[in-house]
Amino acid sequence: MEHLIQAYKEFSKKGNCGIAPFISKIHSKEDIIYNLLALHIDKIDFITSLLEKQTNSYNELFDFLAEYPVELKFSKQLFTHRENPEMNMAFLYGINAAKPIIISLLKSHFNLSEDIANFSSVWMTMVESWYSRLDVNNLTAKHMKDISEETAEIIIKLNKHYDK
Amino acid sequence: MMSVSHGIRQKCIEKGYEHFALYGPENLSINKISKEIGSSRASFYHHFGDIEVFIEKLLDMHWRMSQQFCSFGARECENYFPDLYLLLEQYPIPLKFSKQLFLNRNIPAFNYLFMKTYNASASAFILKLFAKQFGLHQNDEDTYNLWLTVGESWYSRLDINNLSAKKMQKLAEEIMNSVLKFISSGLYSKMQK
Repeated sequence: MEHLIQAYKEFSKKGNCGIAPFISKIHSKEDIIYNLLALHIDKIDFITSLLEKQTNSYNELFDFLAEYPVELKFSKQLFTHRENPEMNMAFLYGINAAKPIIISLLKSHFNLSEDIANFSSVWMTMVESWYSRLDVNNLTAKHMKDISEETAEIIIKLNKHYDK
Repeated sequence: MMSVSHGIRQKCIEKGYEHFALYGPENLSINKISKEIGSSRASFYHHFGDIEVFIEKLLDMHWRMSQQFCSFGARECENYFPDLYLLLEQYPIPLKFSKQLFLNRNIPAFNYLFMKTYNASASAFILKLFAKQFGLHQNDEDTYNLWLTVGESWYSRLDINNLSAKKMQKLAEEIMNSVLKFISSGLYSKMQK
């Protein structure tokens, strides 16, 4: 349990959340996970509001994301533990919150039509492929942009193939 | 009438589809497939050129199977339990194929097709039955997210050596119990804000 508390401390630094209210709620490992997920939801709301204000282009998106390595690592953990319904829902919450903003950036960068951009298979595949390739030991803007371009190009091609 | 050449090509795709489903994409063997259909390696290359083109044909076949499954399900399934699982039981090879796509989702083409077939069946009939079975009154997007959550868990725990309707339904019930518990939690309400 110690490492989870440590993880929470690290994780809560950026969100200005204190450890005291958290400690008082701990009864089990499930409680810790529950509180970590609740904190993640708050952080997603906060980060998404900044994302909307601070990014105007596809390139800026990755500079922005590189500022949040702990949150990205946390999301990657949710992604790799999606067989757990709570973690999957928290993961989906994050990607759905960012979806309108990121789709609009992808649309202009890749000249996507309205149909493709809003197609949920395209969005989910981009996100899942991106996360599965994300190297948490290299959360640079360049790495994140490179894997995004790789996956986007393949998926746009696939979408054309199946919608022929 | 189908030509001999076209017949071999089709047999090769059907056998390859089965091998992909049973052994996974990493274990596809041109030698084994050719041998099982009584053909040769040279004939395989004559028809497909390389393994990548062959895999594309297998994915196309899966998409066609999925469309067939969707239209059959929309016509025949009236209830989520047990109809959906009785129907799935009739499709063991496509189900195993889907599980292989699920296990290999780091490959964008596999991930894309997995999501595309998952979404197609959801919108054709499953989502409606799912919402009715569990009395869900969320909007479409939230219901879809719940369905996606059930699917993630279901596919990751699906035992491809026991695809009986009873076993698959039991697994779905277990997962749904924890999803329903989660829906009643404060965390889920927080996500709905």
